[in-house]
Amino acid sequence: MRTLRRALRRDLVRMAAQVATAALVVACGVAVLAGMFGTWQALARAQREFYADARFADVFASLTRAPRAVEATLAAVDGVAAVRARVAVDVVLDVPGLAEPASGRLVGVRVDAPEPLNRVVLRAGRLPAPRRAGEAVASEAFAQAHGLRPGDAVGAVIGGRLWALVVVGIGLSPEFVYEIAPGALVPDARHFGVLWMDEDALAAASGRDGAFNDVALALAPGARAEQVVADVDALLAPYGGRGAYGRDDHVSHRYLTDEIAQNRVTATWLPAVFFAVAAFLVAVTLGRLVAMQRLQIGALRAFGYTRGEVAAHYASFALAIVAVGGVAGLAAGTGLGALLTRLYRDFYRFPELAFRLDAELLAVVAAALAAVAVAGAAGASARVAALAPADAMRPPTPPVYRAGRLLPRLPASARMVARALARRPFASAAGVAGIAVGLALLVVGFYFRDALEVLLHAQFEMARREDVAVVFREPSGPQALHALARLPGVTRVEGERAEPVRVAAGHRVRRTVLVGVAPDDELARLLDRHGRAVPLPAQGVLLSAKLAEGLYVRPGAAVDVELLGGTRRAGRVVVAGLVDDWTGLALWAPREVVDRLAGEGPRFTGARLRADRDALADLYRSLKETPGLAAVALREQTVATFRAILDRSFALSAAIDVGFACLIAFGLVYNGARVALSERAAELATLRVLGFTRAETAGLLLGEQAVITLAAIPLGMALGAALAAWFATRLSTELYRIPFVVTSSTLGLAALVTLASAVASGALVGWRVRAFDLIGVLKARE
Amino acid sequence: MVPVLRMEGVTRSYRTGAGEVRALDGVDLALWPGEFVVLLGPSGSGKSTLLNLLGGLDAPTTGGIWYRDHDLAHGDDASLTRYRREHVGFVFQFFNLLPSLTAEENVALVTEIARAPLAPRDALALVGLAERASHFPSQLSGGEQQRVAIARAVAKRPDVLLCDEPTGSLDAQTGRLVLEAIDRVNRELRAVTAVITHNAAIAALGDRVLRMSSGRIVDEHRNAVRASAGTLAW
Repeated sequence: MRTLRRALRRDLVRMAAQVATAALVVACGVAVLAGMFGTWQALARAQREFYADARFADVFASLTRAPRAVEATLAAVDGVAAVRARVAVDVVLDVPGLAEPASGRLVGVRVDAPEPLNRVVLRAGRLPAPRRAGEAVASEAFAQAHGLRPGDAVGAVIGGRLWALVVVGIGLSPEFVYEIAPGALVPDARHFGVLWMDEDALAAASGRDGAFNDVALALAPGARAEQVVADVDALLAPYGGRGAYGRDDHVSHRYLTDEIAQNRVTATWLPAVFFAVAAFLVAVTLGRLVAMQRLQIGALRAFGYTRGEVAAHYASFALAIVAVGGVAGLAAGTGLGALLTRLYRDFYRFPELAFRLDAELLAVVAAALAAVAVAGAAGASARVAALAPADAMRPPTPPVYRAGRLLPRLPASARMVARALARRPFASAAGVAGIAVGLALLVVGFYFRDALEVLLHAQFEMARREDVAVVFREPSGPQALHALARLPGVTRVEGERAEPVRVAAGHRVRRTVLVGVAPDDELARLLDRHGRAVPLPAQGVLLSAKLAEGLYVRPGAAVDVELLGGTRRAGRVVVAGLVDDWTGLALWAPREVVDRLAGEGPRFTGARLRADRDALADLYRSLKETPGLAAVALREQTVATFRAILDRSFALSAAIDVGFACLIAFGLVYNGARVALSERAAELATLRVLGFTRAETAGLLLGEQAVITLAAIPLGMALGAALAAWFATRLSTELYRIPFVVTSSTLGLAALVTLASAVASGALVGWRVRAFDLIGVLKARE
Repeated sequence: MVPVLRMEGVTRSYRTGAGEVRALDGVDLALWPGEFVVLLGPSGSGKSTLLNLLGGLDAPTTGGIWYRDHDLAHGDDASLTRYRREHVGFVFQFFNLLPSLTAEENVALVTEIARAPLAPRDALALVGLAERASHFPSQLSGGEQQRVAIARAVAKRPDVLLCDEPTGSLDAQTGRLVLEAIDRVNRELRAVTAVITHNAAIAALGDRVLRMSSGRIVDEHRNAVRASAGTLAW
């Protein structure tokens, strides 16, 4: 068998180009599988471990104010294993070196006893000293975004007073793995951060001595979250409870969990595409080898090699391709995994997020490779095993061609191409499908960019047109708007009243926010899917289309709305229309309607400002010192952050997508053309002798591949658009929506890239027409 | 009268592992319009090399070759391709038909790129195969395949018809049919025809017979009367 192994080595070298193409596609599949599956594992592991180590809570609630004693009552609720009642306040921050104001969430932390839940993990420095109001631990993302180190100070307006908080430590918390400002589309660590302060000091500074306004609870084993949520809700209602919720409605947890789930899906189907293409290439290459070595197979069998030995010899050809691709792919996959986890570290903050090439990952890769080897080798090995020695030593029966009824009008050269395609319908179809899938991958890759561009435009140019949005610390009367109007450069102020509500239609319930707005608001517009303004009804409410979908209601139906803060009044309102917004699940109504529902006079929870661009710096300065503000959002900064994230993450993924699609198209066309070349070299050389030019001959050689590629292009476009539509539906969650847009430039670019790689590989094979032996062919028996 | 093809002092050497092999060694030759020439010689005598040079498939090491006033010795690939395309018909020992095309389509492949070709059906009729036009090569006998090849070669109305051992892989009876076809197209289309063979019996068919040995033309004689293919025996 040693000699057979030597023959195998030589065959591999002789067919190096085809072997390399197939191995490269295998390598891509393994790289994507190892990289993405490993990243998925890393994220899931990091989440599991961080949640366990830091004791991430199961149920959360915020309220206006409750005495400390209520904590014990909460602990006694059936199904509750642990409670942590604390103070948490939203404030405006003045960060050194940042012209504009930032928003922050100050969270009380116990420094003298271990935290029962949501522990802060210190990355540097220490916790604040007990009862020391001027010290804070900054969240890692925020600290990194500003280069904050222990010893640096950040200004914060707490309880109407400007504090200089000295950063004494840098920390992480399972509550803020994905550190995103409430209502924001993307995390923006420059403009939003979490600061942990000594519990008592924060309570004192914010006027909540002996009280709390935020609570986290852990469930006892076997406890039902829904029941605990309901009990906690009832208990906190008198204290201005705004509705308890489970992990599913916890923003950071939800984003993280969605991301992990999405990763798992991508880590499955994307490698599967590569493995299918790879198995096809292996099958084609091996099939060609077996066809070429028919006589040799006969001879080996005649010498006494068994069917199994000969079949195994050819199967090991496939194994060699898969092994080479596997090793290269693992190396690349480790790199890709490290790169992806590094990217994730900027968005998802864990104590440890590391890609590991562990036994489970290796087993998954090995299983995938085994599947490719079996799928690639089965056909050819079976043919080898079935070949009787005497048959093998005779030339193969010539292929049967059929004249075809539709062909007579075509020139003879086109008929050759058509018959070659028809003679191997499976291989032709697989080629078309493979290239189409490669192209579809590209369309999907570009789609995400297009979609987010549309989203950016729809959200920040069509719907939101303010320069600054502020949230008040407490609901305030019209005088708060007058105060804002007097700030430097402010040319327009629009107040809004956003109340947390529970909205229900039958048994379907959502926890969301009801926003009271004015019909003549210009800075926040309510739009339908065509970008047309939806008029604000005098009666009834407008629903986010996604909320209507979740509640199974249509305009004209009624929903029950219960205010969760303050008065906790409830009422039934009619759905007057739908708004196609991009984030969250809001309801809108005229502000007077919300005031009436709450049973209070005019109240505002926030406002949108338009300002003179020249005065923005002054306005920013004033906002940093304005008391009574809980958060400030700057449209221009948000857009810039969004765009930066878009550019950074899409530059990488677009490069990867283009690379993959090129490789698939290149590999399939190259392989097909090489097979055609080896089968038809004599025919084509004959044509050269008969006076066909090199270009005409190359055209006949590549005609099949050209037809396959051209057929694949519209199919790939359609498949890409269908995939994009599927993603748009799948990724349309209650947190955010992604629009379905496939632009003609995306389709064109995807087609162009595919065509270019097909042409390149065709040219590479077509070039060999130059080297045809025109004399040898005259003497060669077919 | 001007010769259609002319060779002067042509040598053709090949470099092999064992040194230089001279396949042609100072050949002078002229082929005249309408002439039927048979080139005889054992293997290795240089007759195939000679045919390749006449067909524009190869270039001489030294010496000159002209098709009318076109220099074939120094032509580039494009000009030689054009020469083959417009003026030369080839018939090969192993037919070299395209298996995926029917008889008629194999002929059409060439007529589609020719300037004033015969209709493929007419070309097939010339070799007696009109009724087999829609058969694929695998459905034809060896002799029929070779006649399709002849039809393909003559359909472009070539000025030169070059046949390399056209009966080499056929039995005598079939070979005679093929030679009849070549003879007929030579007479009807007046293409200068060169047939190389190691079968001396074919010599009687030509106007002129050239014997080759060791890369040289060692003997030349004219047949007073061209025999008809049906009378040949081997």
